[in-house]
Amino acid sequence: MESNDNSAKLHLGSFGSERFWRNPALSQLPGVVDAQADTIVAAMDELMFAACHAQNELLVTRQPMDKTHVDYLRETGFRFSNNDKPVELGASVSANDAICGLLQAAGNGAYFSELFADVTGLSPYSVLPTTEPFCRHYGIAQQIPTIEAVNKANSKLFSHALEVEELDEWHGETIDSAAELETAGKRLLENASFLIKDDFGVSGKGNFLVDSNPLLERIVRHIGKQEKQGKHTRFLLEPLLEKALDFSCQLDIGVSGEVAIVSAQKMENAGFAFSAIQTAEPAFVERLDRAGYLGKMQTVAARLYQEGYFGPVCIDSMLLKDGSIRSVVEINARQSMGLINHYVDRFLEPFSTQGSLLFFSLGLTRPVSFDEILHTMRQEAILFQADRPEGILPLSANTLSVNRNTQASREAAYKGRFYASLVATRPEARLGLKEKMKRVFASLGINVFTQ
Amino acid sequence: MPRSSESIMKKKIKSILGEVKENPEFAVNLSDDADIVNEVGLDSLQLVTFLFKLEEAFDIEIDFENFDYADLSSINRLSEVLTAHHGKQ
Repeated sequence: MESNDNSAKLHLGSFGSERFWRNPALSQLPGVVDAQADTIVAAMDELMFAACHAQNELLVTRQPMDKTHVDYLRETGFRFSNNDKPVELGASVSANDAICGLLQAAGNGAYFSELFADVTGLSPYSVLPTTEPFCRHYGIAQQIPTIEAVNKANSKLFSHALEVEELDEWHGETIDSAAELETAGKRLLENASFLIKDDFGVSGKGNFLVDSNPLLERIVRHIGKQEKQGKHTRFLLEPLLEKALDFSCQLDIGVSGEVAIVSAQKMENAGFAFSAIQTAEPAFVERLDRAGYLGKMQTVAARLYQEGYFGPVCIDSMLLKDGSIRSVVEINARQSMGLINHYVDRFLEPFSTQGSLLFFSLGLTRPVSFDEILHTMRQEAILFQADRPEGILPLSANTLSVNRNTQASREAAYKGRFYASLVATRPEARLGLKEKMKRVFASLGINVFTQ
Repeated sequence: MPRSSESIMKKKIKSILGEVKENPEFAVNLSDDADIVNEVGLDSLQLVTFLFKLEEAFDIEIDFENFDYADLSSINRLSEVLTAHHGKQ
């Protein structure tokens, strides 16, 4: 991941990878399908430009990146190549498939074959069932772990077992039926609220906080109904801990098992969906090391390798209010938003500054283009530029507009998301930038849902 | 449904939205035409919380698997759907 070789690496990925790993025969926590949110997640592949190191590194996204965005990024100093045509849907695949599946059946496969002609390796966001067949299809030589190993490494139940077996830490229990959920849940509620965790839940979904018996009974009925329809149940129950801070550790496990600790990232969370990420300061990393945390990360990495996994890993951890550390909240055996923030900070190093990665959740009642937003940011002097390295660095553009064409009428309101890095040395200045960005959206008539 | 109970129901929906958004004042400014997805902007967690609170307030049980997002296109529409739901149970 951190290599500085001159290989022409191909970067691509499908965010929300968990849905490709999850067993569809398992019952699910209450939730509703939000088609607009799913469309936005599918467009997040553009964020991976930050992982590219050089002009000969290629990023392929489902929809071509916005031209104004690419021009801005190049002008700012980012170096990468990208596709200028969309992946045309082949007849045999669903639009919901991962990009590797879509590319294998793409109507314009010849265009992509030509684009991949000089590619010497692949750096996927995650390894999915379609990744290995994709490599074979396009003749891309890349060693990747088996899908079984990837699946296991990403299972929350596996993280739980690993915590117990390798770290002697115990933070929850597994249940296999609605009846067990009811019994164990009632017992846990006698002391505190608890979380129900899906085996492959994604951030913001898949975790459910239970704080009362009526709510527990409602969820038990919801799960029981699915069991009657033939689904199996498998959840992890964890008492809600007194958290002071969420943070994560990015690791890279090489094909021979060598482990590199890439970075530690702090997360400012709003609910269970991440709100802002920033690279941890050296003093925080030293504190983690003194507490034995980094040694534990090596232990976790060794076990993952033993299970057949290699590649990028993001381990979510927690600093508790009593000063102790919960080392493994969950294992994400893939690239991550924390790693993308690390890449952005790596880019910012020559400017002697760093950023906070966050997104603005938006409601657009009329179409607003990325050009308009960039123009307004320039006017308001809040756009990050190479000659003004305190400002907002836009990391996405398609996530803003992707739902515009999915609505029944052009006048209909739609959801958008804007990913950005708030670049400033002082935290107060970053907060100021966030408020200024909200004012930019307001001036363009865009509703901002992010607090 | 009598007009007065319809109005009470819409008021209750708005109050629950204010609760879920942790912004009670927010509810006061919402019009009956407000789009709960694109104008109120509930995220996935907030949406489930909102639906559970509706269940509790109106003594109904929502079918999550077959939930129609279009029912959230306005407070008016949601109020009609909840009224119909209540009638069936």
